[in-house]
Order: sequence, then structure tokens, then C-alpha cells
Amino acid sequence: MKKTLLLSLLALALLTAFTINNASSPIQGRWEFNSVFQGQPFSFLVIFRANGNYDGFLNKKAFVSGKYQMMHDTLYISDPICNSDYKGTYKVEFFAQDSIKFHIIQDTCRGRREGVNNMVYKKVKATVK
Amino acid sequence: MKKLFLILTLFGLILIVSQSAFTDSDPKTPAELGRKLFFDPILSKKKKISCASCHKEEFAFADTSAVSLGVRNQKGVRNTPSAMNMKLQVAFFWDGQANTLEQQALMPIENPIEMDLPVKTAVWRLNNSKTYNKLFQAIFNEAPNQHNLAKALAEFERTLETSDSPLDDWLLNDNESAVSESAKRGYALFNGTKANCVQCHFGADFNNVEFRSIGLYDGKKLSDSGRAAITKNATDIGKFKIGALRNVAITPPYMHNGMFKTLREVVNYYNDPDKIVPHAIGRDTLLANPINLTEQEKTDLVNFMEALTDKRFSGKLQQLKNAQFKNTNE
Repeated sequence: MKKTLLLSLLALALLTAFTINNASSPIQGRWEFNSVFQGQPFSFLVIFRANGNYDGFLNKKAFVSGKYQMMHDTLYISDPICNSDYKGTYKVEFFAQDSIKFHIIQDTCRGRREGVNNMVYKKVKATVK
Repeated sequence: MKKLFLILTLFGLILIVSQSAFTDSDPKTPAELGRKLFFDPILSKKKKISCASCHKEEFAFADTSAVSLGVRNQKGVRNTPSAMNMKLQVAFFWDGQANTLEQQALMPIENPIEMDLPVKTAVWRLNNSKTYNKLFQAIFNEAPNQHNLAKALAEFERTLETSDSPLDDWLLNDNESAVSESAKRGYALFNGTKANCVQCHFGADFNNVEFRSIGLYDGKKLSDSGRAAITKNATDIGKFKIGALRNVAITPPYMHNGMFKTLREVVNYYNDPDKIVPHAIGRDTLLANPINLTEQEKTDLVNFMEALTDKRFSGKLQQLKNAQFKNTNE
């Protein structure tokens, strides 16, 4: 009985810590990157959600859903296109109050690297459930 | 006299209004001109079919036959792909024979079993049309030629983007009720290691830039060598462009040869390809083993793919589903 209670408390503490960690994560919300592809403008939007999931959109088209975790200034990110079990690691630089830039630490997934490394994303003012 | 003056004024007014309405509907951009050309049979030998005869707007600019009929009712050799969501593509046609939309746009016009009109003749016809000559001059500042004809058609195709499917609504607007629970499970399956569809179908249009062999080549009944005819590389035999999945639910039948009538049949094939094509040559190793999907999982995957249908086509999707339901219950 005591063991169960202790385990429950531990689980609750872990859950709370995780929730607080993500809820206070400065990366949570909507971020957008605009550029040009083959002479055509395009926008890439990423929504980092409070539950540790993220969704990516190209020209408003949903195209990737994955998981992320922020530890201090470091982002750990995974998705099924690259490999759900592998986490790319990036240092996140916050600047100008509404912008972030990703600096690769390690990521073997080329496609993700190209879409993330050294890219500047601007905060989109919108509420996230 | 007064009456006559009134009638004449009224007539003049009607004339001015109707004239200005006509002018307003005239194409003003390359894309608008491209749309006019896309639907105009002037670009086919007998002036009886247009691009839109095979790329039917109501079916996401695809066709509902396994292969389409070209001039003189000649049968095409491959299933007509949707002309929508081309903006992000880097290869066109099932075998990737064109690298740009401009290149692609002229090929069906010249193809002897499609529209069978030499591009030179098409350009000559446009130059001899008062309407087109005027429009090309106004939009491109030059007479119709091969390049601006291709440009207009390509620009029109670039406008055919769809980004308002229930899946987009769910994920972009946090609208949980936009898709069913079954479709959500289907999305998880699609991305998960069991079905693993995402290994090939990824990107904004759920395909990618690769060519793969899913095992629809056996050198006997299934003898379309696909990409190999373009690259002259034997390892490309049976490889085709990975099909985009946006609006796929309203573009049956499926695959390069249109051999599967429904998405359910497609899922059944991927679930156990050997059951349907037992002696495939060069099938991708990703499809080496049966997936062992349950019937519910198959339904979930189909529902997920239906959730990729742009809302403008939701009526057509319902119509097709009703027809399929009727067929399976007869």
C-alpha cells in the first residue's frame, strides 16, 4: 500500500515537473519562416504544443507531426519522416523578443537539418490550445 | 421622338454594361489566360478535347477512368494524375519525364495519343485567333509563342493548390472535431512503424521527390517499365513517381495503371502485395513483408486519406462514398 502511494506520488511529481517545464517553455506557440522556393514564395509554420507535440505546415498544408522537448536552451526534436526514435538536437537562440534561430548541435536527418539549421522563425501571434 | 430617345439610351446602356462585363471576365494574368487555354479544345488536333477533358475539375483535375481517352478516342497508357498541388513538385508525369511545369504543359498537346497537335501548329492557331492574339499581347506584351503558352498553362496549374482539408483544419486550427477519431488513428498509423506509409508519402502533399517500385511490374501482365525508360537505368525498372495524397479520395482509380478501384483496394495491396502481384520484379524492400493490418486499421487509413480532401470537394467525396457503398451492397 505504502509502495503504491509512493509510486503514485512519484508519478504525480514527474508529471507536474514535465507539465511545468513545457508550459513555461518559451518555444511553445506558433513560429513562421518565410522564404522562396523555385521563384515562388513559401511559408513554413511550426506549432510547438504544450503537450510536447509539434506540427509543421508548408503553405498552410499540414505535413509533419512529431515530438519535441526543450531543456534550457536546447531543443530535442523527432518526427516519423526522419525516424521517431532519433532526436535531432539544436541550440535555440531567442532574439528581438519575437524571433528564434536554430543552431545545429547534432542531427543526422538531412531534410530536417535543411529546414531548421540557421533558419530564423518569427513568432506568430495566435493562441494555442 | 422622346420615346425613341429613351429606347436608344436604354439600349446604349445595356450595350455598355454587357461590354464592360465581357471585358471584366477577360483573363488579365498569365494564370487566368492559362485557365482559359486549359479548358479550350483549340489545343487539340480535332479541336474536340482540352486539357480539362482528362483533368476534370470536379475530380481534383484528375480522371475517373483507369486511362483517359485522347484524340480519336485513343486510350492513354497511364492513369491521369491530378493537376492540383503542383507548385512544390520537382518532377512531372508518373515517370518524371518533365522537370518543370512549363516543360510538362506542352507534352500532352504534342502527344499523338493525347491531343496530337504539334506545338508549332498550336502557336499558329493562337496567333490566328483574334481573341488569343489580343490576350497574349495584353498579358505578355508579345504574340503567342511556345514559351508564353507553356508559361500560361504552368502558371494556371500553380494556382491549383489545396490547403483546406479536414486534416489541415484539425492541426492548424486545433479543431478537434474536423476529423473523426478513426481518421486520427489512421494518421497515427500512417506515421507509425506498423504501416509506415510516411517513409514514402511525406511532405506537404504527402509524396516526395523519389521514384519507387511498389511491385507493380512483373514483366508479364504488368510490363510498364516506368522510370527506367527515362533514365535508361535497369535499377529503375517498375519505379514510378510517388503519388501525392491530397484529394486522393476523389481521384479513383489508383496507381500508374489505374488497377485499383478504391482506396480500400490500395490499402489491401500494401497490406500484402504478394497476394495481388505474386511475382513482382524489383519491389521495394519496404514492402517485403505483409503489414498485417486489422480490418479496423484499414478503415482508419482510408478515413485518414479521405480527411486529405479539400473542403471544396466534400460534396464529391460524399457522392463517391455513396456510390461505393451502393456497389459493395449490391
